Order: sequence, then C-alpha cells, then structure tokens
Amino acid sequence: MPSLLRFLLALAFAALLSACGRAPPPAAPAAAPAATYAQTLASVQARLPAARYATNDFIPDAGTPPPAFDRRVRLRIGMPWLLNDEEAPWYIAQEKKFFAAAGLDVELLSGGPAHNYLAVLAGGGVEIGVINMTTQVTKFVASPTGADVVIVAVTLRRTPEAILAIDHDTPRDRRSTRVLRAADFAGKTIAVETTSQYVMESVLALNGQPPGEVKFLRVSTVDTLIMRRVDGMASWIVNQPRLLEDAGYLNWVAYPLAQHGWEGAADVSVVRRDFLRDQPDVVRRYLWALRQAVEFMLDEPVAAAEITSRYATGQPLTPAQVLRRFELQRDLVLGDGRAGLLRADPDAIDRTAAHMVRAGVIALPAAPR
Amino acid sequence: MKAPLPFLLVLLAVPAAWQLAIWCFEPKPAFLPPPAMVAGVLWTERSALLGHTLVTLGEAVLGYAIANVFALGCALFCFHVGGAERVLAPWLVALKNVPFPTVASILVVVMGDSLGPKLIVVVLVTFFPILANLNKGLKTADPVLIDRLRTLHATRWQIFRKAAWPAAIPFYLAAHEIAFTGSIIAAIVAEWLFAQRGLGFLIVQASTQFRTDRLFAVTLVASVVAMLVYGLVGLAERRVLRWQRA
Repeated sequence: MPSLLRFLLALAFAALLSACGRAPPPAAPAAAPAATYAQTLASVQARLPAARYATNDFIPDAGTPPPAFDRRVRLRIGMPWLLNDEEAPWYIAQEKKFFAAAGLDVELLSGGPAHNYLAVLAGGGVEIGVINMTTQVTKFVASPTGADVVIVAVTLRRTPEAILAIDHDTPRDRRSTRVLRAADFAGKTIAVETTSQYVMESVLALNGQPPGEVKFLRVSTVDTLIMRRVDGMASWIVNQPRLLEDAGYLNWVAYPLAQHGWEGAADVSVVRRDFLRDQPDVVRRYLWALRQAVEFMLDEPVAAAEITSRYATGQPLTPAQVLRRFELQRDLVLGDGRAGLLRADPDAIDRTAAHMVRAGVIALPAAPR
Repeated sequence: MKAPLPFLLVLLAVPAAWQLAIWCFEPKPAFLPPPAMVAGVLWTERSALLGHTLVTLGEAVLGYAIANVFALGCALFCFHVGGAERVLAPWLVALKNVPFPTVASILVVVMGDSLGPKLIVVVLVTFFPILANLNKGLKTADPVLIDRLRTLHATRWQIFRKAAWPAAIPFYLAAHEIAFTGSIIAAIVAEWLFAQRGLGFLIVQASTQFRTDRLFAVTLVASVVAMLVYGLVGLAERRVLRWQRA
C-alpha cells in the first residue's frame, strides 16, 4: 500500500512536472528567413521554380476536336474530397461521355480527410490526382520526402480561400453589402485549420494587419461563427457561405484572399513526371475531356447542376445548392478570361511559394529542383 | 531474459528490418523514408521534439491522474452501493464510445483553445479500463476473509482496506499497462484534433507538409515514450507486488 501510494504520488508529481514543461511555440519547421520578400522570391525562382512543376502545354484550345487515339486507356483519378459538387467537371465528363470520346475509361476515387492523393500518385495508386490547392503541390515538391510531380491544369484559377464572417448589423434575411478590410480583424478570433493559419497570417500581414493582434482557434464548423465563438473563419467561398445560407444567414460577408494578394489555384490536376513523359497523349486526352466539361458547366449550369446532384453521393445536394456553388465559383473558374481555362500561372505559384518560405512552411532545397 | 532486453531488441530490430525493407523494395521516401533520414530529423529537430513531447506527456499524465481519481471513486461507489455498477455501466460504455471528432467542435466551442478538451479525451480513453479492472479486482476478494472481518465487526472501510483493495491491486496495476500507455495515444489524438502544440500537432503539421521523415520521427518518439511509460508501470508493479513473487 505505501508503495502504491508512492507510485501515485510520483505519478501526480510527474504530471505536475510535465505540465510545467517548457511549451514550445506553435511549431514552424524552420525559422523565418531574414531575407526580404524580393530576395526570397528570387531564391524560389532559382531553386524551386514552378515552371519546373507546372505546365500549360497540354491544355487544348477552345474548339479543339476530340483527340484521335489508337487504344483505350484506363485512368484512375483521385478526387480532392468526398464526392460532392467540387468534382462537378469530372462527373460531367463522365455523364456527357467526354472521357469516353477521348478514349478514357475513368474511375473516380473519392477523396476525404485521410486521403493524400499526392502520395498515392507518387506510389502509382492513381494516374491523376486532383489536389485541393497549388500550395499543397508546392509543399510536396519542396519536401525532401516528396516526389517528382507536375501540375497540368487547375480548375479554379483563382483561390476560393476567404475569411468568412457574419455581418451582425445586417438582418439575417438580407445580403450584406459590407466590405471587409484586414484592419477589421484586429483583436478578433479567426477559426482556422492547421493548414490555413499561415495563409491567414500572411494575407493579413500583406494588408497591413499585424497577425499578432489576431487570435486563431483550431475549429472548422460554421456553427462557431453562428454562435459568435469566433469572429471569422478560414473557408472556401464556394462552400461555407452556402452552409450559412442553408442555416438562414444570408448576411455573410467575406474577405476573399484572391483580392488581397494571395495567389493560388484550386482543384489542381497533377501527374507524375514519368507518366507525362511516357504518355503525353493520355494527358492531352484527359485535359480535352476536362475542358469540355468545364465549358459545359459554364454554359449549361442548370443541366450541369442536375448531373452533379446525381453523382455527388458523398454529400447529397439539391440541384439548387449546386447551382449556387456554380454561381459563387464562376469568376474563379474563368480567371482572366475564357481563353485561359484550366491554365495555371507559374509566376503566381512562385510568388505564393515565397510567402510560404517566409512563413516557415516550406524550406527551399539546397540545389535547384 | 532480463526485463530491458526485449525492449533493446525492439530498438535494434526495428531499424534493421526497416533498412532491409528499404534495400529490398526501394520504396519512395513519400511512403517509407530511410532510417538515416529520420535519424537526421531526430537530431536536427531534437529541441522542438523534446518540447512537444513534454507537452504531450504533461497532458497524458495529468489526464491519466484525473482518470485514476474518477475510476477509483467510481469503483469505491460500486463496491459499497449494491446495484450501482449495473446502473452506471450503460452510461459509461456509451460515454466511452463517443467518437471524438463528433464532439471535437463542441469541446473547442465550449472550452476554447485550452487544456480542457485534451484532458477530456485522455480521461475518456483511459478511465474505462481502469474502472473495469478495479471492479473486477474488488470482486475477487476472498469472501471467507470478508465474512470473518464482518464477524469481527470490521467497518466497511476496514473491509475494503484489508480484504478488497489488496485483491484489486494486481488488477489495478494490470490496468495501468493498458491505460497508461493508452494515455499517450489519447493525448496525441487530442492534439491531432485540437492543439497547436504537442506530438499530435506535429503529426498534423508533418502530414500537411508531406514531411514523411518528420512523421516517422514523431512516431518513433511516441513509441519510445510509450515504452518508457510501460517500463515505469512494470517497475511499479514489481515493487508493489514483491510480496506476491516472494
């Protein structure tokens, strides 16, 4: 008994000791460099240029006829999330037989929280991975445990990332006309995912708001916004605003990162470099089908929404909900114009990579990669 | 074989098998980084790893201490109040099996970015095995001895202290083998869900940055900590139960 008592006392002491242990600051893999932004950007362009891992050379122009092929090819495509309306172009390409016309037998593999299609792609588990953001590809390419992959297209040419808030001065049943500024977040709490905090900090800093004056809370449901537990939340402009609208809050207001100096693209089609080298025609055929689907989505949104609502088995949605997404994402898909559909901007990827280096999120390789 | 030897065997065999797998299958580092690469991370990031390990250990031990207090209290209540175990059991089983991701947001909303949500996860994971073993152990007390104590007009407390508790000690210590090591995993899971610090947070960070080498380094650290905790429990068991061996 006394021995057990001693053991329990030791346990309590150890608890106390450990709880008092020096807590490290929120981890960053490397200290922020002392270089200026321009110097960092120059380093990125020299050692990790996006031109090395992003190409637009395989995207067909508008009106290109179906590509000729001598054999059908089976393609496994890893989707960026559960099968919802984010993947609309791929459903449309299946339903309207654009993939079939390009000689592709496509299997769409659902994504989700535990799916890392960049690693699966590197290991040969899929031929094409559709990745949420270009920043993820940059991280993967920069990582010493990454692999040699190439971005061949982006579906949302501008980032859908935004800080979402509710304008409590506007009635719930009316749309807010308020324009948010970075300074509005001073002293406020923003809900973030682990992966998005550095983005929010970088954008606020870019716009003159010291991130130290903003508190971040790791939580990801819009309920926290509704309950006023947080003042803003990191979100995708095409997703969470719809959830607020469904909950009866039309008075949401957003601070779109794309309009405040953060350049990224989303729903990024990525292939292995050896696949691109060995089967460039398959990549061209895939991109032809994808382009037809994206154009259909832009031109025939009602029919596209109906198709999408049937395919979105991971998150049941009505055609009206899908249409709302199409409305919210239209400008992001178009970017600077219809001619540039699916085209990535390697310079913009470099500029964002420089911010990532300065935030300590990636480290540049010693030698050019 | 002396007690630490099997652990040393693990420490030698795992890197050997790992390196062998690298030589034989040549997997991409995105899946299985070479041991030398992971060792490099362990060395260069040792300070940060130590700091985050202390945070995890603090949460695990504190949560575990709280779980022990609750489990001991519950076991005593069940021992003294007839039928209490039958009434409590469904509640405890239901509570134990709540999937954490479903309540994660609620915990953060209610308790904020504090120690609370992490401790709750650790307590929920570790409380039940301790209680179940204690209940089982208390029931194994020799009924003849208890009857004899009653005939000697022993109080409830005396019966508990002289007959029931000594019978429960081996079960209680066995619970620590499962629950104490489980508290480390529970703390990591809690950090994975909520935290900005700790080994669980490092796992999230390493995953999102595609740093498989760091992911493996954190995994190794967590395994070593769990082995040390397991060794600590074994040491306590040998000391407390030395009368049994004799």
